[in-house]
Amino acid sequence: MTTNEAFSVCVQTQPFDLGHEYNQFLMGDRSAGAVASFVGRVRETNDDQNINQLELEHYPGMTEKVMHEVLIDAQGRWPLLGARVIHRVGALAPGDNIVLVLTSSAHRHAALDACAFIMDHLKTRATFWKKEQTPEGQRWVKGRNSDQAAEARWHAKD
Amino acid sequence: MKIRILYFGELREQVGVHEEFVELSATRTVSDLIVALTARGPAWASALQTDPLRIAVNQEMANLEAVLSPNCEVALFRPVTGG
Repeated sequence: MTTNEAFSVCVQTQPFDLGHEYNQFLMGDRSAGAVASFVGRVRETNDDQNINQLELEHYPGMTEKVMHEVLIDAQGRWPLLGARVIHRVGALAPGDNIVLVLTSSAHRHAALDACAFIMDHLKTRATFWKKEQTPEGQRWVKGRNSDQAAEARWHAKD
Repeated sequence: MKIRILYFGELREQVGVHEEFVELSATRTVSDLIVALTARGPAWASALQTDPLRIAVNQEMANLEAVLSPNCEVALFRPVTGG
């Protein structure tokens, strides 16, 4: 996957490689003094159950639109030079990567904070759904209140 | 008017439909649409009334009061769980 766009999103079934994506994201840039990255992965257990497989589905079109909106919101808050999100769908196994967020800025706080902001908003807004295959059967993952709280902290009134 | 309805995730499994096009007469809002779908039977009523429902109209999050327009796209699903 190559792109020259400083702000981009991608939904894909294929695995991604952090090192490769990092180099593609920077494209030889010398102005970014800070790059933050976050990788979300499939855990081997969830809610006291072993996970054999995780299936992710999404709403094509709306998902990409929402992810772009989150990047625009982040640009409005921090002086970012770039941001990239890759989110996988399909069948994943424990240890597989699910999502990658990369942000770049002149200085670290903008990159780190924007990375966390983007991830918190993907959790609550991006139209993905997870189904777990466990030894006792399959189950759809429920939304977590802690994810709502994580998003809300960015919008708390001073 | 004709609208497109999409179902995702757990809700898609519960109603057994991913996508359909329906012709509506008296329906004006999402709430009217939910009432019409609920009348299809117990599986539909259960899926649409028992668990938290999220609604998107033309790929924007919407509520039950949202007004439908000809050829609009309505999506019904549970709270999202990506990331």
